[in-house]
Parts: sequence; structure tokens; C-alpha cells
Amino acid sequence: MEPNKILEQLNEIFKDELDNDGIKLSNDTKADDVEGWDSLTHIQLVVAIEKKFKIRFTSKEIQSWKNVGELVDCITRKQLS
Amino acid sequence: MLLLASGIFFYMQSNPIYIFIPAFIILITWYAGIEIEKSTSPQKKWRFYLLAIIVNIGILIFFKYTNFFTSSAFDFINFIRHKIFTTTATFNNNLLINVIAPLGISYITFQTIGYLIEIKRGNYSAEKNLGHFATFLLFFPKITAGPVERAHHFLPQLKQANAFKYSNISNGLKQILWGLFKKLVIADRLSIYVSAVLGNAEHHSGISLITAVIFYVFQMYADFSGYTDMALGFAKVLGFDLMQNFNRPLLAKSVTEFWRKWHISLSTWFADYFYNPIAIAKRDWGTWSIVYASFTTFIVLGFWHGANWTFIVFGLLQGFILTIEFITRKTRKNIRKKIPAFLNNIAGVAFTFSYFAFSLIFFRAKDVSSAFTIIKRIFTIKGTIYIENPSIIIFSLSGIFFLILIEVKREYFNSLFSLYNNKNWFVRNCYYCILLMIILMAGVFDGGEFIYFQF
Repeated sequence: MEPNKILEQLNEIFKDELDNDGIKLSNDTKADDVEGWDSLTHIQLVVAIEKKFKIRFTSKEIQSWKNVGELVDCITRKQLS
Repeated sequence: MLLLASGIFFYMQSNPIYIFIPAFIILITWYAGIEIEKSTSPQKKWRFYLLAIIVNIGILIFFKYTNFFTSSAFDFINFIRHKIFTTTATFNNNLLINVIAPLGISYITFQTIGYLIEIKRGNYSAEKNLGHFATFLLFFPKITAGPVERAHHFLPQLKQANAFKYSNISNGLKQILWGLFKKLVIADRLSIYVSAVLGNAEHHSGISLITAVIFYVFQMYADFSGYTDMALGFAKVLGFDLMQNFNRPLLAKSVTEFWRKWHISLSTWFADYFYNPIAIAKRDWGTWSIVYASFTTFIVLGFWHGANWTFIVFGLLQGFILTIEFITRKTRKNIRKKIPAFLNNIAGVAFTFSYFAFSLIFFRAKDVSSAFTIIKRIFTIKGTIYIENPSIIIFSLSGIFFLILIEVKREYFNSLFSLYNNKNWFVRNCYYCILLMIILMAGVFDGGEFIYFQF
């Protein structure tokens, strides 16, 4: 899947999970930039992303992303393998 | 080098022999860090990691909980003797050993454990210089009560040549002044009333107890954040930035937000190394993973404060409300949309404050039953408010008022004006002089230790 397409779908997941239609993700977006994205909701987001893309992250991956771009890269890699 | 020497000197003041304990921890952790990084086989990595973690946790448990376990064991033996042998003679308590915890032992071990986990995860490289590593853990401004610093935040600062900067010294001194003010003028004043009432709860009316509990929240905050400001200020004078520990927690609009603003260095430690790994591992449970992770985290965090059921109840209360807030977050958001923002904020702050105050009743009480006595009396015992000396109440209320004023100003109107960093030399210095004068006139100089030294 195209990275842009992934980003688009991520945006929908974020809107849905965090219940905030104003979210607009870019590759540079960090957790601090999004209202409601904290360590509690992070896990919910991860679960929703795994379900949507039918992938499984490792614990290490989940704790390693510094911004949305790294998350997109990680999903791309997982889908290829 | 000088920093390390001063740290060691500082440490040895209470009991010189005890320096061997952190020295041992430092050596083991430093060596294990290098070996974990160097080892190519995963088994070897694990072995060093596990060994160092067990040594660290073992030392922490030995010094913090031996008294609790031995006295519980003795209580149990006596209980059995009374029940089975119906003897009234108690077991010889002289055998009880009284272990005195070395200074700041839990802060040191938390920092070493965090360091080991980061090396194991491969996020940061191990420190090769033993002197630097020792200085990180024995940096004297933070030995006694934190902040729980991260190695990768502190060590790079140690490696840079710290050029003398006027702004560091002046900012550091300002922060020390404000910390002193919070401790001596606000916290220790409040503690007079708090101790008088909560120390003899069974003699006081509901209204006095409520007042004392509210005062205690402010005392706790002024005491702990006052200490932190001084620690950060001293570090800054020496050219170091330590982690921020408080971010105006009393203005938080939910308990979840409160824990992101209160004792930040410890709560993020627990989030990174305890809460997140649990929640991630159990994420297939859905909401239950959050419930499970919140409860275990806060029970351990409560128990960290000391081996007493009161701290466990304190932790359970936090875990409970975090879960409730998480489950109801969407509903609450919908309700919020229908109410004006400022009303929302006020209601949120008031709820968070009351809940935290309630949980602190357990935190302060010597056992769970006396906490329940206080709560029962708050709701049942009518009577007038206890005022032995009106000036104590006036000082306390002025202190609280001033603290709230500064916090609200910094939260909402910070860009508007500043007395602390006013451009005008005269205004700025007048403000410092006034603070200093109030400290000298109204400060309590025999107020004793900081609350958090004991943990």
C-alpha cells in the first residue's frame, strides 16, 4: 500500500479512536501534537491499527516510533514481509 | 571530579559506612551495562541484565521492606502463640532487626533500573566512564528525593564542558528562592495546622478535619515542589538541567491529567518501564488491558512509598479513577461540548482536587482504620472549626492564596507580565527582596524534613 494511503487510513483510525474529527496527521506529527494521544490511548490506537492492516507489531516497535512517519514506515515494512 | 567528591561527601554526612551501598550498586550497574551492550549472544545479555536488575531490586527491597516483613512475621508468630497456646507472653522482640535505609536509595535504584532497561532495549549506549556514571547517580542536588533522572538526559550534559554562564546562576538562584519560599513560608506554615488536627483526628470536628485535609494537599505540593525547585535550582547553578517534576498539577482538569503533571519524573518512569510494557503485552484484552495495567502500576507505585496498607489503598484509588476516566472519556467529551468551557474547567479542577485530597487522607494516615475514622468524622461530627491561634489560619490561607495566584498566572497569563523576569531592574529586584523578606519574617525554620525524604 502507498504510504499516503496508509496515512489517510491512519487519520481515520485516529479520528475514530480519539473521537476528534479535527485530527490531521502528517509524517511529522508527534504524540504531543494530538490532543488525547497519550500512553493510555496509544495502546488502543495500536490495537485498532493492527486490526485494520492485519499486522502484528512487536513491543519494541510499539515503543519506538517518534512520529507518525516512523509508524507509517513500520506498517509499510510489515505489509511487505 | 569535584561533583563526584561533593556527592560522596554529601552522602557520607548521615552515615559514612553507607556510601558502600551506592558504590556497590554503581559498580554492578556500570559493569552490567557495558556487558549487556557488548555481548553478542542474547542469553549472555539476558544473564547480565537479570543479574543487575535482581541486585538493584534486591537492595531496594531489603532496605525498604525488611522491617515490614520481619515485624509482620513476628506479629504472625505472636498471633499463632496467642491462638494456639493461649499464652499472653509475646515472642522476644529483641530479635527484630531495624534496618535503616540509606539516603535516597529508592531514587538511586530507580535510575539504575531505568538505565539498564534502556541499554537492554538498545535505545542508548552504555556509559564507559565509571566516574561519569557515578556522578550521574551521586549528583548531590538530587540524591535525597529526586527527580528520578534519566541517564541519557543527564550524562551528555556531563560530557559537555560546562562553561560558566551568568544566566544559569541567576536563573538557578531565582528558582532556589522560590523553592525556599514554598517550603519555609507555605508548606511549613500549613504543616502546623495539619499536624495539630490530623495528628489528633479523634478530637476534632468534621469542618476542622476537612480544612486540615485541604491544607495538606497544598502543604504536600508546596513541600515537594519546593524541594524540587531547590534541587533544580542548585543543579542549574552548576550548569545542569534536571528533569521537570511538576507542571502545575493542582490545575489539572482530570486525575489522568494530574498524574501527567505531578511527580513527573516518577510517573513517566512508571509509564515507560512498567505501565506501557504491561498494557502492550496484554493489548488483546481490549479495555481490560488498561484496567489491569493501571491497577498494577498504581499498586506498585503506592507500595513504593512504603510498606503500609495505607499506600496500597492510595494506589488503588488512583488506579480506580484512571480506569473510570478512561472508560467514560467519550461520554464526558460529549457532555463537555454542551457546557461552557470555563464551567467545565472549574468542575474538572474541583473534582480532581477533591479526589486527590480524599486519597491523601490514606496517604497520611498511620493505618487504614484511622483514615476511615477521619472520613467518618468529616461526615458525622458537627462542631466549630478549631482555631487555637488565628494567625496560623491567616498565614496558611495567605500562603495558599499566593500559591494559587502564582500558579494561575503562570498557567493562563504567563505572557502578560513577569515580576520574576521583569525587564525593569528595579521591579525585578524588589520582587526578590520582598520574597526574601517574607521568607525571613514568616518562614518556619524548625519545620523539619521534607515529606518525600522518607521515600
